[in-house]
Amino acid sequence: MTTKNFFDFSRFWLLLKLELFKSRKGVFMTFLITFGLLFFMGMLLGIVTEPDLKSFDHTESYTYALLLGGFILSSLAYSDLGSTLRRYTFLNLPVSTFERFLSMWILTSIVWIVAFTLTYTVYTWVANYIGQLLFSRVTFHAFDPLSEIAITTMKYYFVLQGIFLVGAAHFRGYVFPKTVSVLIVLALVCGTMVYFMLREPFLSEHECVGMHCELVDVIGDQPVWAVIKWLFWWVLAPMSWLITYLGLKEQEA
Amino acid sequence: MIQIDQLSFGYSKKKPLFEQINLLLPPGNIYGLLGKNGAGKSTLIKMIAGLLYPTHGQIEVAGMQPKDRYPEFLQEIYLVAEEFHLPSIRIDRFVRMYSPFYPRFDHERFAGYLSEFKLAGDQKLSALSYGQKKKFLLSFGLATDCKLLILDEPTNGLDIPSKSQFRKVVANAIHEDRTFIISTHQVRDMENLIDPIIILDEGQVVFFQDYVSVAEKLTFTRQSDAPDEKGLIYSESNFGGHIVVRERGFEEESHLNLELLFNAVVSSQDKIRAIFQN
Repeated sequence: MTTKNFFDFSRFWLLLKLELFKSRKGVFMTFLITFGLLFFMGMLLGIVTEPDLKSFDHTESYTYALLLGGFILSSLAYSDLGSTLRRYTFLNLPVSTFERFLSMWILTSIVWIVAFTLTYTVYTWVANYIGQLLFSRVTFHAFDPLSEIAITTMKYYFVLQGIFLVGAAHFRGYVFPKTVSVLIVLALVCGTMVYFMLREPFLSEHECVGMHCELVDVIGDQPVWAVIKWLFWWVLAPMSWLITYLGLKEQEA
Repeated sequence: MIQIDQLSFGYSKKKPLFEQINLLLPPGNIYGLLGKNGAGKSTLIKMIAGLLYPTHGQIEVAGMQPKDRYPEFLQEIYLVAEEFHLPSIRIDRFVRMYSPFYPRFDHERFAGYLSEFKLAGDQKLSALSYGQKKKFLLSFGLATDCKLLILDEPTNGLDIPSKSQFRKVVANAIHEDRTFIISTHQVRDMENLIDPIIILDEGQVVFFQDYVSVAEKLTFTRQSDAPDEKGLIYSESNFGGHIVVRERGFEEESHLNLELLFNAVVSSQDKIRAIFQN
């Protein structure tokens, strides 16, 4: 196999443009719905129902919208594989599996983060201007896309969205609910296992009084926690990308 | 162009569809792939296109293995499936987005095909009828100048004038480096177009001959009396008479009736095999 059969930049660029073009309507609708909901439900309704509100901040909404919107978008990444007719068109396009993976990964991670953050920043300028005209009693804080919370949200999204790409490459139809269901089941199984494994040593040495649990405070000091954090930040995303690529390969057969 | 060696495949392990098929298809021909429903035509096409992988044996197309699915291979094949999906965009936009993936795409020729089929670049694909969509896909596939063009039931949905246009366009587009495979049930639409003829039955290639060999060895006649058994391969009653397929002796060459040939091959495989082995 020559390198050109694995990756060719001009072909990849064509694919990237094609995928962007194909998803333009979906992305536009997502933006319209998201920003409509954020403005009318998140901001206006929030201020109207809370007469004592003195200041309004957009950071929390940014976190939810970036994560949820991006996860849904990532789940739709390989939706052509779910339909028999679209599947043939998708598979017969002269591009490599790696190019298919890379184009969707770039669009749903980097492009989504940048496009959403820029649009969100512009949205907050407009929303704050209108808000100020309608509610002079409220102080509207400007959204800083480079604030610590925004950057942390981007980092979390960058790591977690790979899981939804895995779902997109493996499930056919209803990818988002299926992926969320699998995550819930996995969390329940892992949580139960950890609870039964650590219950005895921890509960014999630490006390839980009411809502405050010493166990939660000290778990961060455990070496195992450092390993979990390292795995989360450095292993989870590359592993998800690899599984996505292998899933796409498998779908070709 | 296409070499199939000892190909075996089955959707389930218990019931194989193909067992040890061998086939060699040199370039420069329009192959007609005929067979009853479930004979395996679509499966064979998908395997040649790299959409299904053989259980055993191997397929080679233009010196490449379809199962590798390299972009270099995918650039050289174009499959117009019986059922397909087209995005809701204009023809010219589709061509702008998809044609750069095919390095030898000929825009001039594509415009010619569109005009032949009375389609315009500013038409939206979703607004076209099924037959018009097929004509568009055929035009696109031909304009790619790919080495292998596979057409699955291409005349389904085409009106009578369009079928003639289809034959004309396809016949003019073949050249010595290209291969077309047409899989169809509409054998009458393919007369004077496909050559050689491949007939699949129960997972086997039961017939693979060109027109010249068929014309040399078989005659197709119509007679009012019941046919006698001497040299008879197949007959069927038709409008108060009989149409008959016989082994050709010293009779004059007759017009090849594809539908009759297909029925003869499927119902009298042993007789046909014996005639063509000589």
